Amino acid sequence: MSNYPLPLERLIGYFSRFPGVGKRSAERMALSALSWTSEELSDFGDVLSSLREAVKACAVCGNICEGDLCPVCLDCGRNRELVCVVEHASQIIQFERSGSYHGLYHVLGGKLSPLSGKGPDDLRLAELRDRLESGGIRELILATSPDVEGEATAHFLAREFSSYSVKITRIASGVPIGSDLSYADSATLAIALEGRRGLEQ
Amino acid sequence: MLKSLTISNFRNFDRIKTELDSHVNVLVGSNGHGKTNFLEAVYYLSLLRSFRTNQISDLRQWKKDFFRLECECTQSGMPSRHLSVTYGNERRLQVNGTNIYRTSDFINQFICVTFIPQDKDLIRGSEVLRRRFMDISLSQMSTGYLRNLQSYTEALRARNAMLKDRVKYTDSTIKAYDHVLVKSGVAVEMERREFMEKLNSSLFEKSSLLFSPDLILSVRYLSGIGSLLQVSYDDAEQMEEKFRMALRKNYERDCRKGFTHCGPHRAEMTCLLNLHSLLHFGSEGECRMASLAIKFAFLDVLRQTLNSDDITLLVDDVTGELDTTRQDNFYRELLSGGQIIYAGTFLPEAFRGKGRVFNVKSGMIASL
Repeated sequence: MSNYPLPLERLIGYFSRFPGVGKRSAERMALSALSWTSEELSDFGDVLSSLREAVKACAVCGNICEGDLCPVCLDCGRNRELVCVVEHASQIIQFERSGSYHGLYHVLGGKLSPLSGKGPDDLRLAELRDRLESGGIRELILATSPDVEGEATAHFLAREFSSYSVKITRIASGVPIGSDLSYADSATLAIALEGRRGLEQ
Repeated sequence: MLKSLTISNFRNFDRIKTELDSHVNVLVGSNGHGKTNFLEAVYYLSLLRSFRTNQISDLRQWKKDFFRLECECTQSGMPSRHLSVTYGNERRLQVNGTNIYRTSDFINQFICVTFIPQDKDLIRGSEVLRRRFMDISLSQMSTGYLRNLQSYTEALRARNAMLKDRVKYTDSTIKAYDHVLVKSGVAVEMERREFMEKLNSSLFEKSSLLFSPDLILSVRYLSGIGSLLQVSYDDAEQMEEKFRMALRKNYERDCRKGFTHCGPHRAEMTCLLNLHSLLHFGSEGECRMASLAIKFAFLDVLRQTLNSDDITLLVDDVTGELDTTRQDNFYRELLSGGQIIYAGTFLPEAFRGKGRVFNVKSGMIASL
């Protein structure tokens, strides 16, 4: 017997679509699901089948959330003059964990990537423009990745929204906090040197 | 310096293991028995490219699934490292048994300079080959260069893709890439110009070894962003402004043709003998000698920059067109430092009694 029964093969097929899951891990996951109780399996099925309706994109910022608006946008304690522009919703969690940012977010849904056919129309720009036009935003923080495409996207956004009376800033790049400089890679060090700042004396 | 080399399923080698001498290694054998393949294997371990093909899967032995190269090397007295490349469906790199994922973290663990028949194309061949010479040479001397070149290439490819699809990408999207293009492009240009300057000052001395002293060999860098005669070498801002202006000036044409007309990717290096371009006026012999002189000058610059003599010279019978005096000069210059791996049909007099001699025959190698 070189194949599992068809239902199991289908499950393996789905599991192996997850990032970081190879054929062998997918098999283990599927086989382990066989030992679950019927209640657990049907609950698992429910979670999956209702995922699309249960988790949506926030109507304002594009963050993933349960209702129409995400907890960040609903939180009246946040600074509504600040908007941090990120590529993906998953990056918001990282900013939130840092605990030092209390403004709002805007998810672009990617970056300009002409080599994979991604242009301005594929980004959530109109939504950002609406937010700027409705007023109240004083600063736009561009937090796209510090690679070639991310840099280009940041420059594009800066130019695109230059007509609004809003301050546009770019997050800094440099050496990770708490790391030993001896192990820093030279590219990061070069950028950290370029972006050095004076200390109060 | 290379201490040992193991080759499996590579070109015409099944499996060979060789211990190398720290100074002179001579591979002797008839044509077509694998001498150049041996040099190619060493070169691949140093730079992850071949000097003969861009199709790396061609390096696999006929009908084999993968090739594997391993070596033990040191650089300037550092503890030796074990490098390995396995090239099957994908390429796997290891240093001391640890997987390495970035090319830039693997290459240049030992430094190689080639003296091969193809060097002549440096003078007469296409401009692509001269840019490749500058790029490979500079990446051996500066890690920053490779990084900037990679950024530049990525930004350029993105820009060209946008120029070909003007429905989807507007002016402002294209111009968004200009910032990265200009920054990394100017860094590339500056390092190239500095390199050409250094190359010229060594070339003056090295060319007299091969040419008569009244013939002056020089190289000239023609920038890809237009004339930079009035721009000083270390003024990045001024060069960036020049590049931005050139991009603006060429923008219409770029859009029409669908590619970028100016930038370091269009730069050219010309070789001049008594201020006449060898590209059009050089004889066979002159081009051969000029390419050797440039290689020796590069070696000189490399030694100064790395502040080390620890360089592996891969030499594939290039003396055929030289007279005896010049051959003597050539061998003397080779022997002035570093490790030599020389491939030829016979043992040259200059190497007699030095280092090790290997016999290469039908994919087998034996120490004599």
